[in-house]
Amino acid sequence: MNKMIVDRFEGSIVVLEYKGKTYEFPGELLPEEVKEGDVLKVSFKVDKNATVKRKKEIEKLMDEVFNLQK
Amino acid sequence: MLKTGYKKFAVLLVLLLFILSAIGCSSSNSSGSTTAPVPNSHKQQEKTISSTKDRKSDAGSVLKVHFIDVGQADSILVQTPSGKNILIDGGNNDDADLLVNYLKDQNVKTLDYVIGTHPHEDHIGGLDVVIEMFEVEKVYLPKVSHTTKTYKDLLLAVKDKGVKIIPAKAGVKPDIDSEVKALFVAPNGADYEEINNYSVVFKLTYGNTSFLFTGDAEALSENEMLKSGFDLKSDVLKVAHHGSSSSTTPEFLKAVSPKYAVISVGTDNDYGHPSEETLLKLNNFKVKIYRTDMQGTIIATSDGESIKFNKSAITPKAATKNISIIDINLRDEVVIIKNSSPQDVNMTGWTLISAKGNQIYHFPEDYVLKSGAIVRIWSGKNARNNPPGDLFWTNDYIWNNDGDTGILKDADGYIVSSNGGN
Repeated sequence: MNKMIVDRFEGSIVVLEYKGKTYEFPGELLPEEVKEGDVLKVSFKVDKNATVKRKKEIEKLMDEVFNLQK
Repeated sequence: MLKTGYKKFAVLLVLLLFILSAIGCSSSNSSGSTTAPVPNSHKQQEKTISSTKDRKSDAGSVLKVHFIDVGQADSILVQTPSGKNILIDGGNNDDADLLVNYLKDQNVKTLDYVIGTHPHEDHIGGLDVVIEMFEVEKVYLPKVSHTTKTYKDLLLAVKDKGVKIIPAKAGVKPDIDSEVKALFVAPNGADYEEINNYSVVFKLTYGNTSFLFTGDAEALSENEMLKSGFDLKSDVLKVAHHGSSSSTTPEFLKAVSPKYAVISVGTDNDYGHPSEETLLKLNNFKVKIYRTDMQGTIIATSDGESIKFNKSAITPKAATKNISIIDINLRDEVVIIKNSSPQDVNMTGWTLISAKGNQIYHFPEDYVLKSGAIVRIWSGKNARNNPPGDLFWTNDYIWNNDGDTGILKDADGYIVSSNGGN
């Protein structure tokens, strides 16, 4: 179910097949040993700390850029 | 970098071996080719009789090759003078409907030959549906497995059809008909790291005209083809791997010495296809270029003597022919371009490209290079900015001092000039 298959590499991009459809993915995010035809077990994890940090960073930038006076 | 250097060395070595072997022995690869037409099934004979008129009026005594616009993928339909249909590759999965409709529009009922060059999705994607929808006589695939659903679907479609796949490899001569000769010139090996190198490369000859269909064969396979001693010379080259820089070595191009090249490639694809390097090589060999991303489906028609195309080759406009990069100083980071034509040229939309690194400079809106004038394009720390004679690109270093090529393109993306720099 959470399996993707490596169809091919196109330079730094890897083309992955999921349920018969293909998706492009940055090759650098995959382990180095990955080859064409490999079946990948895919799982994503929410990084809560990074999310909070990122939100703060963007909101700080918004405060600078938005006109708060209305 | 290291890999590239090694590859170049390997290419030279292979070329040397090829020359030596060519001197050492006379051509020895013609073994009694089969020419007698194979009787078709009863059903097929009926169809041939009933549709001969259609087919003849459609084709006359010409060979028609359709490079179907399937975006960033390959699919080629060949229709022989006797009415045989050969389908080479089937686009992406999403192209299945488009392909089925295209084949129906060409009055295709039976695919006499289906060739999947290699099992990547952008080559076999739509083949399963096509095989389901049409009568299929023979299927050729290279003997390499792939784990994708796309490949499994293809195998299942062939299985459902009750057809057995014929392994495609160098030296196989599919018996098309008495007029059209076919020969597989790759794959020459059976164990490659990259699936692309299993690509079936297929030479088709009709009268004095010939076509070479290359799939995604990379430099490694090209070198093997050179070594194999096959006569690769062909009028039309389907440029391998959508014009990627990992294929189409100068040595291979020289052996094929095509008059025309067709690049099957998607608009604004994410892979940088076709590469500037490949376009430049074709340009240097004075090959006329056709592209599916810019021109849609390309149809080549051969009467056995000459080949005509449904579109005009991509060439620079006459007025821009006399604009050239007269010098690139790689160290001082300056490119000098001269307009030797009698007219002023508006360079809006023009670009200057550094082949190494693929950096692109866009000329300013409404910039006019006057007749007889020169312009310098500056980059690096000391880049100047003093239009119209000195144009500022960037303070970054663009040109690789170990060798780089500048490519000047007009607003239509045609290569107007190139220069290897010094």
